Amino acid sequence: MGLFAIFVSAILVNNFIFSRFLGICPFLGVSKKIDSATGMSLAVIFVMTMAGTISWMLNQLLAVMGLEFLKTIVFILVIAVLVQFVEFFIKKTSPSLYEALGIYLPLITTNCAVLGVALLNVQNNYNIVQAIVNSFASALGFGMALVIFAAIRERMDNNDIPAPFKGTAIALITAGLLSMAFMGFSGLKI
Amino acid sequence: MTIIINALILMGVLGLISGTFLAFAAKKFEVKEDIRVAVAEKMLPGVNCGACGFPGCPAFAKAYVKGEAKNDGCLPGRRAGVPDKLKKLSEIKDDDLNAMGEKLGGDIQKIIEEIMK
Ligand code: SF4
Repeated sequence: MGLFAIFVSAILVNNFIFSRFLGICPFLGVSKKIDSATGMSLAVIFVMTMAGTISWMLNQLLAVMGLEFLKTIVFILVIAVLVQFVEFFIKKTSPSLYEALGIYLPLITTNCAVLGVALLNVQNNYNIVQAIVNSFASALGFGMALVIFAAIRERMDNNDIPAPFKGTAIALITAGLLSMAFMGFSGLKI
Repeated sequence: MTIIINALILMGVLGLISGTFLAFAAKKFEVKEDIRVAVAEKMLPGVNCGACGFPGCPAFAKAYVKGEAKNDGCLPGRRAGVPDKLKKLSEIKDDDLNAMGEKLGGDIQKIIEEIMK
């Protein structure tokens, strides 16, 4: 597959949230405000790209040593270290963003989208460039979904929503509609 | 057999590398925390169970110092005397606490001992 095809398909066709349904927890948790959604997206983009790249390299090493069965545990270790690092970094550079992200920041560790991208890179036998592009694009898709959703939710605040649908209920319905809209991309032939 | 040894070596080396990296990063990006929050956090059991209704002990400590949480909010710490310790902490004035921190070189554990005296 060409790089462009990987890029587009990771963002639109196989969008992590809307078609693979990975990483739903931060998607619902950090999407109340567009600012924190953007911050979260940037953090995820960094962690996912780095994790995808490093885990790809480690996978080569594992293959040489004949230890492929340790894949999952090694990838999780890499992700945890990266998340910890991002946490230090954000805490130092932007305490307000740190407050806004709250518990969802350490939870990137358990964001299955990050582990998912690392495992998908390996499963699809990507080479290093493809792996980096795929990781970055997937993260971009994740971030885009988060920001779109946060924007919609911010607007919903100003609308008169019937009482039974307020809060999470309408958010879930919106997410479902968005996901259906993204299904339109699945016919995309590149 | 070699597989086991290989696995052990690999995980050991990886753990060592990441540990060192994080230790350096923690030093480099160190943030001066409010000493009261730091002390309150150290007084808690540190199991991060969330029974207090906050996402983990650091959040509870922060909320307590801000006055948003009660001193007996931490369930696991109740029997271990945490409410008592937290109460004592609130009774100390800012200046005294800062002076204490300076005298003891910022060693949180020693500060707690001093408070409990
Ligand atoms: S209940 Fe206590 S131990 Fe549990 S998270 Fe809260 S402060 Fe920590």
